Amino acid sequence: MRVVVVVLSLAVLGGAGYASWYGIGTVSRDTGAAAVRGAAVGASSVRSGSVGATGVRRVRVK
Amino acid sequence: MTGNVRSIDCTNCGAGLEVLGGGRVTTQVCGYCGAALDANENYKVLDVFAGMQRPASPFRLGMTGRVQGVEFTIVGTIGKIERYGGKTWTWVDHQLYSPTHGYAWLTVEDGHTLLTRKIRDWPVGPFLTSRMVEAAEARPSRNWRRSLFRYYSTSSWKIDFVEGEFTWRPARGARGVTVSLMCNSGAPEMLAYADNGSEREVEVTRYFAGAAEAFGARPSVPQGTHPLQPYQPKARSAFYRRWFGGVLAIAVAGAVALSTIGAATTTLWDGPVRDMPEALVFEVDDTSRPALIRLRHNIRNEWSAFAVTLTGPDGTSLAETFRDISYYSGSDWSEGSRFASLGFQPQVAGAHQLTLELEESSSGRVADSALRVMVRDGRSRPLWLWMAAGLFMLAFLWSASTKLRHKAARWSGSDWTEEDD
Repeated sequence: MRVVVVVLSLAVLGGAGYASWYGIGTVSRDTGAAAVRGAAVGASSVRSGSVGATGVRRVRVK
Repeated sequence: MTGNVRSIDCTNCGAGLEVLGGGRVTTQVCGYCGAALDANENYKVLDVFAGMQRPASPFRLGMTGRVQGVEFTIVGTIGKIERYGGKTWTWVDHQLYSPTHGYAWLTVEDGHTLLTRKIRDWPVGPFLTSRMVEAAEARPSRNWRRSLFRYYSTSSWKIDFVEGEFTWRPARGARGVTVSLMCNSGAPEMLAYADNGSEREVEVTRYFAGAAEAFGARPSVPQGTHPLQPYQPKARSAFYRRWFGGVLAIAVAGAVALSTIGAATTTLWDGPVRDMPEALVFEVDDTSRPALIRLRHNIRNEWSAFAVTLTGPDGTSLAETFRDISYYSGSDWSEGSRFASLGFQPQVAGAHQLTLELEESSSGRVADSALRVMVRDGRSRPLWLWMAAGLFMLAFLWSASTKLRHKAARWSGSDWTEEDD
């Protein structure tokens, strides 16, 4: 039991350390080659509201 | 092993019965036919309790064992049951007899073993009854031998099995009430105000962990935490406390280090949108971790929409997207944010090119308002380590609170509700 707890907690610590160091989750979904290709192919990408805003919603179509 | 005994034949069924209980025994109940015999009148049949189901217990009549250096013999067995609110509790009381120390009770409840003795030095105050408990506005308590005992529970029990010798007249179906108070200091003692309808006694009950071994019985497996069970720290608890304390410290230290150490933020532009260069160029050295472009547009009750393009040193397009900023506020409210961000993963180290074009806005004033564009590469995210630290903190608190949880478990069976406290 102790070994399992030690291994699991080390795995959690290691995984959290890796994800924190490499900034996992900080890359915006609309960046990168795939996102750029998608934007180029999609002739009518839709934007809605402002980033981070909660109350003002304006839907506009490019 | 058994002590020196006499024996009789049951006057109802003729079965041979050992006589173990000493001169104060008034009743002997045959374990074969359930006949209650009067020990003071030639074992005349008083009643017959047929069809009784023997309760589970590792102890049997005739077993002897040493209790605090004194040899006792099990002379009687009573099965008790309590039903309340759809729940049922059962336990077994074994009457013990010592020629030199008199009578006591050995109780088996959920695999836990307890030793009960009558006391003669009753606590100061009237005999505590269930009626007095119900009328009390504060949790009743009594002082006994310099210890405070606080009310624990009231048990309205019924006898559903009886066998052996007793100093009173037990009967199947007979009812009684016991009001229990537990020692507040954590000592494994309980005072019981027992009323069986014909007599009242005050008893003290203590946890008796070594009962099975003392009487040569098969040890039973205790279920749950008994209110009188002493706290016994386990070696593994200390190990887990140290271990989780250690990994918690590492996680916090890592999160703090990542929050404070890192590449400096570079400001690419800080001025009116109208005067901003067509392209902003910045260097990225670290391609192993994401970079972050952050916009702060100093607007109020306005909105702006920027077309954003980002190109790497090799001409690769990394982003063709948009960022909207809107911020509205009044005297006591605000809505939206003056900030927007774009996180990206650099592919090649070197000069990156960012273009921001004010595509739309709520008014012409927006182009004159100040925009700050900042970039930072080699970005980390301590949130993951903080989350791990939270997890380790919970595990640490769990392993460090075994004594508190044991105390809470001891009192959890009390029927005194918090509203009454």
